[in-house]
Amino acid sequence: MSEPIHHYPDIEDAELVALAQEADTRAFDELVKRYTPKLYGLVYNMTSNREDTLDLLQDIFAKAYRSLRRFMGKSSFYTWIYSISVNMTLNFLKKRGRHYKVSLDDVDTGIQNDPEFVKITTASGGPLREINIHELQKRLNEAMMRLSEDHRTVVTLYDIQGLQHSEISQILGVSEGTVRSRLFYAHRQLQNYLDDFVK
Amino acid sequence: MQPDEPSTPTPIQQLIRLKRYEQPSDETLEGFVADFRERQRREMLNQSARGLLWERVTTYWENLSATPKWGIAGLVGAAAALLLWFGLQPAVETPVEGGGLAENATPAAAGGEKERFEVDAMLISVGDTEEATTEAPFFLSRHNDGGFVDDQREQMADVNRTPGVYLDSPGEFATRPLKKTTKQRAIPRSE
Repeated sequence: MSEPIHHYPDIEDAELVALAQEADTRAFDELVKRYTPKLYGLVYNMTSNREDTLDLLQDIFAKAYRSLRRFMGKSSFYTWIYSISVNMTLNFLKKRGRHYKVSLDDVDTGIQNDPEFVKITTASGGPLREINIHELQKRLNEAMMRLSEDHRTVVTLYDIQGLQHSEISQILGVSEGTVRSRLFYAHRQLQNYLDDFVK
Repeated sequence: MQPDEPSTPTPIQQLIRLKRYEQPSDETLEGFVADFRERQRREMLNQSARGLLWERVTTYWENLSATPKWGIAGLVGAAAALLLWFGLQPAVETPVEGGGLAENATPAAAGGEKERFEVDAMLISVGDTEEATTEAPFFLSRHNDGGFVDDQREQMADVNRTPGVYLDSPGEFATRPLKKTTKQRAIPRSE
């Protein structure tokens, strides 16, 4: 008897997970394809190193694959894989310590057409007029890396990845109030580090 | 009161959001899945047989629901405790046909082919240890006096007088448990 033919990109996460739990490796490959860009963004903005990010992503998906049978569907796959990623990244950062090499991705040229970028760079003759994109990238990265790991996590998830407070709360296993509080203090710190850009 | 974030993004949030434009190349992401597959295969090949067995056992264990899981654990624990208890028991010396002891008997011996026992082997169980250590010097002295063989003959005669027990030679007699023979021999000598 031949196996049913699936068109994996059209299948919902929950069904892909069920198929992967029955040893359908192509279903898991689809999940990897689907989540690689999102998780890449999370890990990259936490580590500021693209090589570390790719290595860590491999470990994260390998861990997820090994643990997939234990996934009972009580939360969404999305929340589950994000939790694994955050925990593994935080563990990695603890091991790595303070000595690391920054290795940044290129900034997409689309930034120049971004309304927010345009607004910031044209607003009342601000300092962004005078710096190029790479300098901006460097300053933003430095500011992010000066945050504590907990604060950097919430800023990455909320501001860069666009997740909701409730989703972040589930991923980190803390209350929504804690998420909001961390965000508040993280933004205050960032404001101090990047004061000259946001006056 | 917890500080709350305003619904409209602040300038600092707008600035941080520009980090979204830092992205890996398309080739990096496309190659990632292929790299991941290759790594999985490599790990499978490198994993030892013991590692695979352990993974299978743990996976099986994790898939069990809560009640049977601990039921099985209890049964395994009880079986292990029983085995340990039997293992620590002193050996029971039960004479079997052919002059050996039950604990030494093998299925082959029971089936017809006679088990060969060491004639000089001293079968001292835990219960006999104390008696044996106190009586050993006595036997040695008797042997040095030249009276040991006589004792054996004397005892063979005693045993052969017992209905249903017949011994053919001193060698065969020597395979008898030390405890019984010493008692039988020691009493007449002390008188």
